[in-house]
Order: sequence, then C-alpha cells, then structure tokens
Amino acid sequence: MYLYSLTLQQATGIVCAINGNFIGTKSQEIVVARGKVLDLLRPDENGKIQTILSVEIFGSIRSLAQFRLTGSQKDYIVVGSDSGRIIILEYNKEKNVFDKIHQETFGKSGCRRIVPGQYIAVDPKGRAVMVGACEKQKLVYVLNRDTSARLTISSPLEAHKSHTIVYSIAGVDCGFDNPIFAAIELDYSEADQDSTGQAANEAQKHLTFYELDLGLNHVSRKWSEPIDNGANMIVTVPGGGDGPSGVLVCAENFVIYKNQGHPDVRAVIPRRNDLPTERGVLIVSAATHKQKSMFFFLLQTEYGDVFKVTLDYDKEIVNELKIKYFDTIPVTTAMSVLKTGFLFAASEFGNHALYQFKSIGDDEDVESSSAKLEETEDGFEPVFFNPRGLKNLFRIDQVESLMPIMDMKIANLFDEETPQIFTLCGRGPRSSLRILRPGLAVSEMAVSQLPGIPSAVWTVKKNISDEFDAYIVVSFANATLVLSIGETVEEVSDSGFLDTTPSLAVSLLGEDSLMQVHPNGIRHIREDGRINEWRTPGKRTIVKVASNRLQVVIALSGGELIYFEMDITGHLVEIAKYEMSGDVACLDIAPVPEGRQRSRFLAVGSYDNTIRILSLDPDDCMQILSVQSVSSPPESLLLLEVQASVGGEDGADHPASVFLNAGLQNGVLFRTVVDMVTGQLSDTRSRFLGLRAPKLFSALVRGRQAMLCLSSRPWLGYIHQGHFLLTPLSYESLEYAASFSSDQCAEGVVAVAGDALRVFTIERLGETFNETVIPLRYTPRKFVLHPKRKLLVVIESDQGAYTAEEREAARRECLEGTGMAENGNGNMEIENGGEDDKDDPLSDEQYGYPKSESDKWVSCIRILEPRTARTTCLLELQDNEAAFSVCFVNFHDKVKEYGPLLAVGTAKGLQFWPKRSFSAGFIHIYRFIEEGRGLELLHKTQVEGIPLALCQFQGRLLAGIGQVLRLYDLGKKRLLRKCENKLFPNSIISIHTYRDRIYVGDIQESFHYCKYRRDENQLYIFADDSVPRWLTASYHIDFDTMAGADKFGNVYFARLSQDVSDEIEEDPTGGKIKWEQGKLNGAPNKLEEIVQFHVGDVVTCLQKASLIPGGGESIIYGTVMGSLGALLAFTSREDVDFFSHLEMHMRQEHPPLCGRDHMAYRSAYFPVKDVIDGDLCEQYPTLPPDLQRKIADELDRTPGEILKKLEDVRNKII
Amino acid sequence: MSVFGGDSWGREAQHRKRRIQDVIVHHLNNNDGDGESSNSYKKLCNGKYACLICPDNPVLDSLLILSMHNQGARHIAAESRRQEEINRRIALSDGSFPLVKSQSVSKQNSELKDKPLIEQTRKVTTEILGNKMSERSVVNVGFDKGKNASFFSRSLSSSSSKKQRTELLVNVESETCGISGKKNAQPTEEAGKMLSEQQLQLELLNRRERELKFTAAGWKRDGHGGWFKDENVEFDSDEEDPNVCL
Repeated sequence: MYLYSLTLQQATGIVCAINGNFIGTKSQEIVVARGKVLDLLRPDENGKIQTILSVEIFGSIRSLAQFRLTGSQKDYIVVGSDSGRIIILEYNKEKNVFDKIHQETFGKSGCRRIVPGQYIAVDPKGRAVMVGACEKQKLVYVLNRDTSARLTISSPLEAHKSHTIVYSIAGVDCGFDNPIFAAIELDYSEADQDSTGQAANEAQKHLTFYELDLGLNHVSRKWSEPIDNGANMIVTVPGGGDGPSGVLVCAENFVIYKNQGHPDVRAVIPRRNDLPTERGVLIVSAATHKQKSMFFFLLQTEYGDVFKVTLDYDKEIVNELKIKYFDTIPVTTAMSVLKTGFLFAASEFGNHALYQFKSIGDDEDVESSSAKLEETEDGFEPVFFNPRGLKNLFRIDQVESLMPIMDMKIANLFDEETPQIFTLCGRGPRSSLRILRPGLAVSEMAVSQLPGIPSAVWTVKKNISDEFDAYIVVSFANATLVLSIGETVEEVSDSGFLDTTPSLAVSLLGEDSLMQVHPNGIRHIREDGRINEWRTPGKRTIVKVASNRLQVVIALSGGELIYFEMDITGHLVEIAKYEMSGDVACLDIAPVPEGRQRSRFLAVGSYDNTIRILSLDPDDCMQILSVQSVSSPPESLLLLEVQASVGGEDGADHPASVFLNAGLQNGVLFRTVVDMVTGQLSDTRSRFLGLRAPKLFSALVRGRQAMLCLSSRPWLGYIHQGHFLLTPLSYESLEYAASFSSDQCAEGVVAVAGDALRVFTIERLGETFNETVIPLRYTPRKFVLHPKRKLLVVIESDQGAYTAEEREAARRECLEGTGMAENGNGNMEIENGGEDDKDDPLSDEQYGYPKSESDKWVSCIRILEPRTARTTCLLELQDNEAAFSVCFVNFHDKVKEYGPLLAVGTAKGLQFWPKRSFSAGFIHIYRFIEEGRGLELLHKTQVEGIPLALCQFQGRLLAGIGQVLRLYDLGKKRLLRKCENKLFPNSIISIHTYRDRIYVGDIQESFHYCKYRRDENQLYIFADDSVPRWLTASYHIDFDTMAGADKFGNVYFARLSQDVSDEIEEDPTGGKIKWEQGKLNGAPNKLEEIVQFHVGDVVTCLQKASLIPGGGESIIYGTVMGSLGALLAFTSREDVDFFSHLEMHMRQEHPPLCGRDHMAYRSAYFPVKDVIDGDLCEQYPTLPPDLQRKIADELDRTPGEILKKLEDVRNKII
Repeated sequence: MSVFGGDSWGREAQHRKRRIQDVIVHHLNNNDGDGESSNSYKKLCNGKYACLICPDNPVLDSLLILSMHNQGARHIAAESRRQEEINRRIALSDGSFPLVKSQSVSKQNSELKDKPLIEQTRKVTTEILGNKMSERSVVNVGFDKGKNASFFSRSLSSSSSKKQRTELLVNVESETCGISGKKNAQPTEEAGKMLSEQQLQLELLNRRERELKFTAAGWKRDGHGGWFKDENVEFDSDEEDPNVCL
C-alpha cells in the first residue's frame, strides 16, 4: 500500500510569535511559528489579520527571535528548530519568500536536551545571538556586516556549563558595551549525586550573566546570583540611555528587577480574589513596548490577566517597580505589541485575537508596587483584584484556531453533497464543537424575494470610471426588472431598459452607454438617454450573446454569428457574419486587454461537443484558429485573463495568460490555456464539479479576475499566493450570478436561486474549510454520533474547576461586590460604557474559569443537535466524577426493551500528581428518552479501574479498564461481568471490533488483536505489535489492518500477514489459538507495520472518509496543533513512481527552509515507509521556473503536466 | 476451571482425566463382551464402584482400581463361575421352553447374540428401518455421552455419525425403490423425510445456539452434564437456568 500524504488545513495553533519590520517598510508584521509552519502575518487597514506568506519547513520550530543590525531598517528572523542548526531568514518582498541568509550547523538534529535550539536570545543592539539548549549547552554567534553590508555570522563561541538546566534566556540591553545575556539556571550536579534527596530539595536557581567580550572574542560567566526558585522567565529591560538596563525576573507571585550591582526591586503580582491560597501566580508571556520617551511591559499570568509593569528609575537606579492590572484576555503563548497600536495575542488554545489599544492603562487601577511591599510573618502581603471587562484593549479581529483537536468524526448528518467534519476543539472555557465543511465561508448580506422565478441577473455601472454598480437587472421568463443601487435597492423604470421582454445580456458598453440584449434585438442606451435598437433579421431570434466593453457577438437561432464593434462615435457597427454548422451552445469574448482596441479571441461552443476559437482581428476576422473537442456539449464558456505577475506580496512569478474555461453538460469544468498569439489550446484540465452543468461567471476577488462556477453547488476559481485555486463555496446552489459592488460591500456577488435574490461576500480566501462554532462548557474528551437521529453525544471534563452552579453563585456574588465598589467610587462611566456586553459581563471564554483545588473535577454529558446547535440535554456528573469514554451499545436481548443505550466510563477523584490515583471508576448506563433528546440513568457499576475505552461487541459491552479487557452484559441493577482477559500490558485506551475480532489499543504498546470464543467464553490475544507505540489515535481499516498514531507524531498502519490471519480463522478445534504462546509474555503472532510516516504533530484522531462526492476514501487525521491532513492510497503503480521521483527531486532541489533534512524529518522515529509527502510535492509550483523545468525534464514531463498531476491528486482528496 | 486469560491448564487437566475415565469404561464394557457386562459393576452414589460379579461385592475407589480388580485372579474365577452358571441356565431354558420362541425375530436375535459383527449390522438395519425413532434416540444418546466429553468432540462426533446415517439411508432407499414398484408414493415420502431431516438439523442448531448462549453467559458444564455457574462471572437474579430450560 502506498499513500499520499497531504495537509488539508495547516496548523492553526501558535507556539511562538515575534513582531518587527520584516518587509522593511514602516508597517509592522508578525512572524508566527505553528509547529512546522512559519507564517508572516500583517494587520491590514481594516484591522484584519492577513497571512502574507506561509511556509512549511519540515522541521519543528522551537523558538523565534528577531534582530536588527544597527542603522538598518529591516529585521531578520532567527529560528531555533530541531535541525541542529541556527537559521537566519530574511523576508524577500519581491518574490514573497523567506530567504535563508545563514545556516550554521552546531549539533545533532532532533529535539534533544543538550542540543541548542530551545531558547534564543538576541542582543538588543543586534550584535550577537545566543542559542541555548534545555541543558548544558549555550552557543553565542557574533553578527556583523561585511563591506558590502551583508550580514555575516561568526563561528560559535561556547558558553556551556554542564549539569545545569536552563529555564529562560534573554539579552541584556547594555547599550554598546560588550553584549550580555542573562539566563535562569539550576545546577543539579549535587542533587544528582545525593541519593537522599536532600540536595535536590536544596537546589537553588541562579540568575547568570554571560558576557561576550567582542575584543577577545570570548564568552565568560560574568555574574551569578541566587534567585527565587519559582523564577521562570526573564524580560529584557531597555538600557543604554533608554532605560536602566538589567532584567525583570518573573517568578511565582513576584516580579523582580535585577541587575549586576543593583539591589533587587521586588513587587508582588496581584492575585484574583477567588484564587485558592494554594495556587501561585506565574507569568506565562510578556511583551515590551518601547518608545523614545517611555517603555512598559505587559505581562500575562497563567489565568489570563495582563499587567502593565512600569519602572520608576533615575538613570541606572530603579526606585520602584509597579505592577498594575491592565485587562484580562485569554491565556496566550506569546503577545506582540505593534508600534501601530495593536496587540496581537497568540492564544494558547482557541482563537487568536488582535486588540487595539484604547489607552495604555494610565487610569487608576489595582496596583502593587515595590515601595508598598509589606513583609509579614507568613511572607509578603498579597494584593487582590477582581477581573473586569476590557478597558484598555478592544478586540478588532479574531483568527480562528482549532487547536487542540481532541476528537473528530466525519459524517454527512446534514444530507449535503459532501460530509461534514465534526471536531471537538479547545480546552476549558474556550472549548467548542466546530463543524467544518470543505469550502469557503460566505457571509450573506441580503436576501429578498422577487415576484417571479428569475432566470438571470446582471449588475452594471453607469460609467466605466464609477467605483460601484448602478443597477441590478433581473430577467424573468417574459419581463426584465431593473433595480437601482443606492442607499437602498429599489425598482426603477426610467433606466431605458426594455422591461417587457426577457433579457439575454446587460452590460456597459464603451465609456458610458448601456446595452440590453433581448431575443429580438440589441438595445443600446446612450448616456444622454437616446436609444438605438438593432432588430434581428426575419423571424430569427438571438439565442446567445457574448460581449465585452467594445465588442458584441450574438448567435442567432440556426447558428449564425454576427459580430459588432463599437466605433469611435459610440455606435455599434456590424463587422462580420459567420454561419456555424449548427446551433451555438455558448459564446464568450475575453475582456479587452489593457491598451488594446479589441480582444482577439471569441470562443464558441457547439452542440457537437466542440469548442472553437475564432479570431476577431480585422485581418482574419471570423477565422477558426483552433478546435477543441470535449466529452459533452459545453453549457457555458468563460475566457479568464490572468495578468502578468512578478511575485510581490500575493503572487508568484508568472506571465500573462488566457484560460478558457468551459462548463460541460455532464458537470465537468474544462480548463485549457489559450495561446495569446496563435489562439492554440494546450494544457487541458478537467474537474467534476457537480451534477449540474456548471455556469461560469466572472467576478472580482481582491481586485483580480476570478471565476464563479454554479453547478449543484457554487465554486470559486481564484488566485491565491500565486496558485489558482478552485474551491467550493459553503452556500446553497445558485442559478445565475454576477459580481456586485456597492459602498456596503466592495467585492460581493449577487445571485438568484429559486425566487430569491441573494447578495453575499466571500470570506477568508485561501482556506480549505469553513467552520461553524458551537461553544461547549468544559474540555471535550470524546463524542459519538447517532447517524439516524442526527445527534451528537459529547463528554466534557475539566480538572481544577467549579461546576456551573457553583460558578454562577460565585459570579453573582462577585458582580454584586464589584458593582457596589464601583458605585462607591462614583465610577459610573465605565459601568455605562460596558453596557453592550452587560448580558455577560465576565464571559468565561474571556476570563477563564475560576480555579479550584487540583483534585476537583467537573464533567458533563451533552446531547447536541448539530443542525440547530441546540443542546437538548446536559447532564452534570456529581461527586467529583469525570467522564472519559463513551459509546452506544445495544444489548442483544434488551434492545426491544430499552433501544440503544449510552455507556459512559467515569473516574472519581482522579489525580495525576504525585502519582496517578483515583477513588473509584464507574460505567454509567443511560437510556435515551424523548426520542433521544434526553438521558435517564439506568444504573452505574463500579469497576476497579478507569474505563478508558468502551465498545459494543456482539450485543454486549466491551470495556477496557486499566489492563483488563472485560465483557459486560446488562443486568437489572448493574452490569454483569461475563468474561475478561487481564493480560494487557498497561492501559487499554481504544477498542475496535469487527466480526469476532477485537482490536485493542494499549496506551504504550500499540495494538493487540483478540478473539472472543463463545463456546469457551474466553478472550484470547492472538497477535500484537512488536513496537512499543504510545498510542494516541486508532482506526480500523480492514479485517487485518489497523491505522494508529503515536504521541511522537507518527502515523502507522499495522497489518497481520495474510497467512497468519488465515491460520487463525481456520482453527476449527480452537486448540491452536489456545495453546500457542509467544515469547516474553507477548502474543504468538506479530503485526507488521506496513506504513510509517512522521507527521510532526500529535495526531489525536483518525477516520476514513471521502470528502468529495463519489470520490475514493482517504484517511483523515486531526492534530493537537489544529491541522487536518489526509492519507490517500494510490491506485496505480505509475502514480507511485511519478510522485516518488518528484519527491526525490524536490528533496534535492528544494531542501526545507530551516535546515532539517526532509527524509530525516519524515523518518524521525521510524524510517518512512510507503508514504509520499504531498506537502513537499506541492511546493513544486513555488520553485523558480528554471528549476521547475529542470525537474520536469528529469521526469520526462513538462512543468504543466506536473502541475496537473498535483492538482489531480489533490482533487481526489478534496 | 478459570475463565481468566487464555492459558489456564486446569480445565484441560480435568478434561484429560475425564477422557481416561471414558476409555476405561469403554474398555471394561468391551472386555466383558456380553450383554450383561454393564451389570458387572455399579457406580455408587458416593462416586465409588462396586463389583457385582465377585460374590462379596467389593467397593473400589475409582474406575482405575476397578479395572485392576477385574484383572485379578479372584474376579476372573468368579466371573468364569458365573459364566458357566449362565450357560447352564440358557441350556436348561432352551430345552424346557421351546414354544416361547414363536416370533422369528426374537429367535434370530438370540441366535445372533454371540456373533457381534452380525449384531452390529442388525442394529444398523433396525436403525435404518425405524429411522425416525432411532434418530431421535441417537440424538439423545449423543447428548448423554456428550455430557462427559468436551463440546467440540461431541459436536463433531454427532455430526459425523449423522452423515454416516444419511448415507446409509440413501442406499437403503434406492434399494427399496428398485424392489417396490410403488413409485408415486415415493417422492412425498422422500420429501417428508427430507423435511424432517431439515427440521432436525434446525432443532440441533437451535439447541446448540442455546447452549452457546449459556456458555457465553458464563455457565459451565460439570462432570455429570449439568450446568453450574462460573465463579468469576456475575449473574442476574432472574437469569435463566440451563438445567431447567435445556
């Protein structure tokens, strides 16, 4: 089996983010690392985050930093990855790529504890960079520029210290003195030697300064001082004239200012009022804002509260450190303050956000200060505050993030053309169920009913220089309706259009005149209101029209073509006639190219399954230039011109070209390139779009020509980051469409469907899926689908939180408290200002759940109707119980009595620290009431472990309880244990069944194949895997094969070889299976791993599904970082050869950006086997043209063919 | 007797023991040769065995010891004495009551008594002739035997013997066809037989299915063919008892 791996949606979570001027202009950009993807983002004028560039680097990014050489205007990016190399990147604006400036190898690849890459710190003046490992090694590179002002990098200088763990490093701003780096270190050499543990208890963290002596070219430990053992992060304080220099050490509950030769200045971090005393407060992310005259820091705690930290200093003496409550936003992994007044918050889980600063927190608020720090017998006196609504920040944009995907199921619950992907995302209060549909999101602006069933719609401007459209013209079976666009859209009768006849086309002609084509003639409406009418000769009628600004071609019944052109005086003049052999099916003329008088090509589709290209040049007017035969009569044609592009922000290098698109009656979209000079057709591609013949319309997307295809669902063809993409729209099927532009909506579409007129815009271009979000209460763990009743049952649980009722009570109390306080202060404006969100003044999504003791669990079982997003039943589990597994089960002899039942596995009082412990495990059995909308507890059975896996099997319930696989039957008062097997190695986390086979997944030891023998009432393990996999996801592929994913980011398929399988199945006496014994407690037979692939991200769910109607199935997976990918099985040997060669050439010619060897990356844990990396192959179009040609030559193909192949294989998946 | 794991040997050992007992019983019966052989010993309610041949009826602990005893000189002497006595009595009865043997069959039977091969053939023919009757009885016998054997050997033996029977049946039918001229009555008769055959098969399957259901529910077979509950399996209070329903 050979598979093609393709990422369908890039990771949406963010691991680190930096900001700077990477483009080199005044604008500020953000570079984010999403695990294995590096993205360049920028907020546009409207405050929407736009992705400018996204590159997969085939490695894992662990840290990012930016630096700028003195006097330069542009920032460079330093990347710390698992490649064992330091990479310096520069953004190339012309080509829209990251250029690799330097790549210096320093160690082994992989994420290892002593190989640097985990931490990166730069000297604030851009003279040196330090790369640190978690342990021991730190390397310093000196950065400089050569005579031609190019960046140079020195050989590494070592700053190693063995037996130390590093927590954080930062560059110290000391002006133009020797660069200094600060690090929080812990020496464990003594703790390692001392077996009593006393030394380990006494271990002390130190803050160490490393000085790089630029003169001696040497790094030395300059200064080391003990600091709080809770210290976890260092933040650089500006120096060298801008500030006092030194660092802020963020520790548990404190922020401490430290510098060499300066006494500590310590302030306590304010605590939330409702925080249990046992919990500390840690800073998780920091951002610095620096202006000429002032600077401040924003520090965020693990609860989401952001504090503004300011220093009161006098030259190099810091007098006071103040920590003031700023605002509360969801917990972030990184914050970036942009100079343009924005705060980019890369959330730890859930959607990322862009905030605008309303103020910088100069108002009164809760503040703790080093001056007011009071030490009592119990320690320092804490400062308390209550979180409040946003005051200083205002959210202006959100970037959706699926991270982490906890579970995923694919099913067509809504009876649409393609199935929906149901994903459980997020954590705690930010968790949600997201329904993903392949296609672009559409936001509907207006829907209005029309008096009849319209057949067509057009929009038209009054003048070519107008920005917006003036009229919407709707044609009915025997009338035409004209609507004028203004403040409102209303019917007009003075437009000059003939309204008693249906229309065939309406358009702007010349500079400022309008044209209406109806079956009996052409009506030309001049700007001054004069009307010229051309009538068809005899009884013939016009059947088809094609026009652009200056040219009109009509087709009369019988197959005669008449060509008109507009002359200088603004009259339509008949130029030529041409008799086709039969009726014309469709026509199109390309728009007039810039600087030309006419378009050269006319495309004519006939019912004899051909498309002809005719010349419109005066020299060879109406000559057939080329003929293309197609599989079915064409229904609609569109000549799409792609303007020449030389890279830039949103395009790759490509010359201007004209594409001929044809919608065929069999539902296929046919696309071919028209040679600009000769009119010859080449490079044909076709794609099945839907059951109806696609109708093609031109539209504008981001100022470029795009194509709307209306088949049984609408599609949009457009250019995104240099690629032509054809994506479905998530909208109902449409009849006829036209582009629409008004002052409310610059780039919209007006369309007719049924008897309604719809106006919509297309959003989030470039994305594969659009999502519908349904919020959930706690972290979702698993869910099951009921395909018949179209319901979802979700189990959610959270540790260290309060139940909804407790929270509600506490919140009411808290609100009353703050309300009174604020009234007391007379601070009424804020109350009024925050009126808009008064219904939910402290949404949990924003502020997080109040924290309780860590051994307290809350959990619920929810029944959800996904169509209406309505929760029909929500059952909170009581008594510190948390749900971990769920399944539907039909007990064989109780089906009639109860119908399908729901089994839920729970644990009570689960604790992970210091050792995993729990007070009891249960299996709850619920029956459905109210047609599945409610639940009623039948009984609950205590079991001796945590049931982490449940599955129905032959009318009974199989449960994986710790090491035990057990079969239960339904009893009156409890479940009845019928049979068990205790021989599993660790803990069972997944069970799949097929016929009498049971496929059991162990948390550490991969799959075990079992068989249940009814006649003996025994479960036998007959085969297992030889590789100890830490299983995170599993899926049953076929009788002998399982697909699995492990926690190191690998996907694999395990298969039992055919002969062994046959032997097991043909064992009539049952003696063999019973007596065969494996070696060393293993099973007698071993599975073979037939597919190996390192995804580079923890796969949490796997499913086999087909995302296109009538397409083959592929394995779809979801990952922790919120990406979705697919593995498609190749069906022909030829394709395998082609793609493996392409992959091989890509590996050689286009090695990954961050220096990780592609082959080594994909084989990080196991040698990659029988999987071709589609993500690498899809980078082929981004290569420079000569390189593309070179690879194509070696493959004996043309670049076009390779692109077509890539497109084809992608179209097989989605 | 455990259901834990796949590697329990206890069950198998018990199994083996039973099998040995079966063989010994068979051996004992065969050695005795004549019809009364089954009366040569008696199984007591305490599980011990009493020899009925020796005049003092010694009680022996197990079949193994019984078989040893049977080879002993005292037992052999007692047996030969008993045999002589029987022969004498037969001779006497032959002479004294010649009119009793009015039915030729019974005469035949008694004549054939000391010719075991012919006796077997006779059994088979009677089985074939009274097919329906014997079939049922055989099924029952099969199950009675099965109580001592493992399920698999039982099901196999029953099915294989069944196959033999049906073959024989076909042969006999063809013969009778040739002899008797009544061909019109034949098809219905045959169909009826087929139907009954199917019914039987179905019944057998159902029975097996029911038994499987009980084994899957955690019931086990004891040495006497009775059902008992596996101690590691839980049962509902109102669960069906196979001892009652089967």
